[in-house]
Amino acid sequence: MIKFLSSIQLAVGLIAAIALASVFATLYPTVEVFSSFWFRGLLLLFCLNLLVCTLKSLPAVFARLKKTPANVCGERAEGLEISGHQSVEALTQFIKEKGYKVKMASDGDRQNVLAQKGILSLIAPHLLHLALIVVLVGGYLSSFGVEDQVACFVGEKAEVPASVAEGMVIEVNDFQTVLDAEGAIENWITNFNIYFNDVKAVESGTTKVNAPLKYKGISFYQKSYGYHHLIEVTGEQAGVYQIPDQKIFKLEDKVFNITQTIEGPLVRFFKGHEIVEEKMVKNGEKMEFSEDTVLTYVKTYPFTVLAVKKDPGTWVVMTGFLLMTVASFFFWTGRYREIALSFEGNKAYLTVSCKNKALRDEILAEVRSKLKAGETNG
Amino acid sequence: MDNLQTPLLVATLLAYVLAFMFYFITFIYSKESFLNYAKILTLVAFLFNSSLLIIRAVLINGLPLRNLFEFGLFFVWAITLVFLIIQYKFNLPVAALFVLPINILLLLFLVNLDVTIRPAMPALRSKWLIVHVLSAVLAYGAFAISFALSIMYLLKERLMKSNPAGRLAGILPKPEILDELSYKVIFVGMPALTIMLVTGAVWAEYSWGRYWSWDPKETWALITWFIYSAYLHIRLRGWKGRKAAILSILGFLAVIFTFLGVSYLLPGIHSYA
Ligand code: HEM
Repeated sequence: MIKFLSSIQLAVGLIAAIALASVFATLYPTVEVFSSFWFRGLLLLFCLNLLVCTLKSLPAVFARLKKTPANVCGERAEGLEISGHQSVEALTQFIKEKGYKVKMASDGDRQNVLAQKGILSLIAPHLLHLALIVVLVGGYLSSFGVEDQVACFVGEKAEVPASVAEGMVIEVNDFQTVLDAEGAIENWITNFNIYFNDVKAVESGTTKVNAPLKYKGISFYQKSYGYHHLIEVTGEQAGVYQIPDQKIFKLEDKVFNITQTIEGPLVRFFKGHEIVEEKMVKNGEKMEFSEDTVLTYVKTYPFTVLAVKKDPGTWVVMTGFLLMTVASFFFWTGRYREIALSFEGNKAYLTVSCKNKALRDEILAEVRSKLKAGETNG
Repeated sequence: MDNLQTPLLVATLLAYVLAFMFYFITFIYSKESFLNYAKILTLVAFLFNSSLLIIRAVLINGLPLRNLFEFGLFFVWAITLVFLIIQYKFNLPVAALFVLPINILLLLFLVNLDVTIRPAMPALRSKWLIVHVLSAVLAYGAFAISFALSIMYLLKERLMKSNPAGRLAGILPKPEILDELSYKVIFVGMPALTIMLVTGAVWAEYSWGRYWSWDPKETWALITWFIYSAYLHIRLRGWKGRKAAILSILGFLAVIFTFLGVSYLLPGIHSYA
């Protein structure tokens, strides 16, 4: 069972199954795949596979890291003639200069050397697998997360949905559209206070796109915004009206809407679908319709919409992501390789291990020729 | 500077086409003397490609990585970069016959796109985007090369059986070399793909408040990542050569589908996801 759970065959089978399920899910978006029971089962099995396989291989990795120089005069080692003690030092110096970590130990007359390089890439796959487990666990925790949204007019208060945070209220001080030097929209910023159980807990915090505000494990994201317009009308339809941005309004025989633009509110009059007149207005500005009907544009009411989220898995997933990134860089540091030597009298015994055969042969040739060079020098 | 864009784009395309023709003459008609011209033309194309990216960077005052056109331009640039490394480090200019057509096809697609500069949306103004897209470009460049090498592998294997004395069989390197190099390139590309996935998710978390939403683009990026991780694992079990080459080809098809297919073939889905 353990053997099956830790096998690469199972890993490849699971990877193939998850990939195929994902392909299917994007082709038939109406079929619920990712939240289905069987897909989660696959992920769970995948997680188990990773866990067992990592646990099984970690001892070997630690053993390699802690490995000490040993006698390698066995059958697998290549025996080479050398002359004198001089070349032992020259050779270890040479290996050190090549970036190897060199350990030495003498064992009677025998001098054993162990040189290791690329330890980070030895750790890399295991760190990556571990990171994947962390991400999957975080993803599972995220399924207990909740998210919702809260809309609030500038200058007013609004309750954060209780499913996300009970007793939390926001009060919006300001909402601004920020422009860059070229006049394009750079960001939307909401400035707000947070009350928790009627006590002001955050004073003048800001949230904008790409920079959420976090408080007590609850994140506030700038999600949307909008405007209402306050108008006052005299005459037949006399009254004060608060109309949403771009919503069609009828006054006597005229049809119009008000749109908030970067420069300010714009009133558009329509005949059918066509715009027949446009006019920018300021606060307090009056427009006369007929003899006793006057429309006064009183003020703009901006509102902001914040997404609110409480997710106990996010930080776990982010930790996993960080580990994945570190592991990725480790892969780029070059293959792990190991040179083991035993010097005995005027003979040296040499083994090189590296998963890449070409690289192994290259290192063997290099060390061999260095030993030969030592022979002529010494 | 704005109106330099289209001429430079056309010049880049022409230079890649000419370079391809010179490599073709060098190898298919055994005109060794053409090889140097082919190499110079590739460098010229790379230079045009780079200048276009620099102009674009100056115009938008940032890295040009914000839309399909800019990403595509960087993609072609990265493919050429990885090819140049392969050509010089492993002395494999013949790979040009299989790599440059990818560049030419991509550029033929890019010349149809709108080059107008538009301001970026607030969500795109993030430093995560830069790392995200740069790592994508690096990974995709590597995978394109591995794809070309895998095609060469399959071709060579076939020709060795059917027509071992033919010219094409003669100019293609030994299958073991192609197989090994293809693996090396994927081994370098895979961590970049991992960084791409991670930074994309982190960016989504900051921007939308959700690190993963199973939207078709991210799902396809994940599928690509799964294919290449399967590739690396089957090699650990000693599966080399043909099977590995097929998986590498499949991986690159997934890359292309993520890059183009999702935008054009699954358009309705974005509103669902
Ligand atoms: C999509 C998820 C996975 C990714 C991205 C991944 C990634 C990797 C990478 C990049 C390597 C190094 C390959 C090489 O040295 O050529 C590796 C090695 C390995 N993987 Fe995975 N892996 C995944 C899932 C798994 C699973 C589920 C298992 C469980 C059996 C597994 C078992 C192994 C083993 C045993 C090695 C060899 C480690 C060594 O060098 O000693 N992998 N993996």
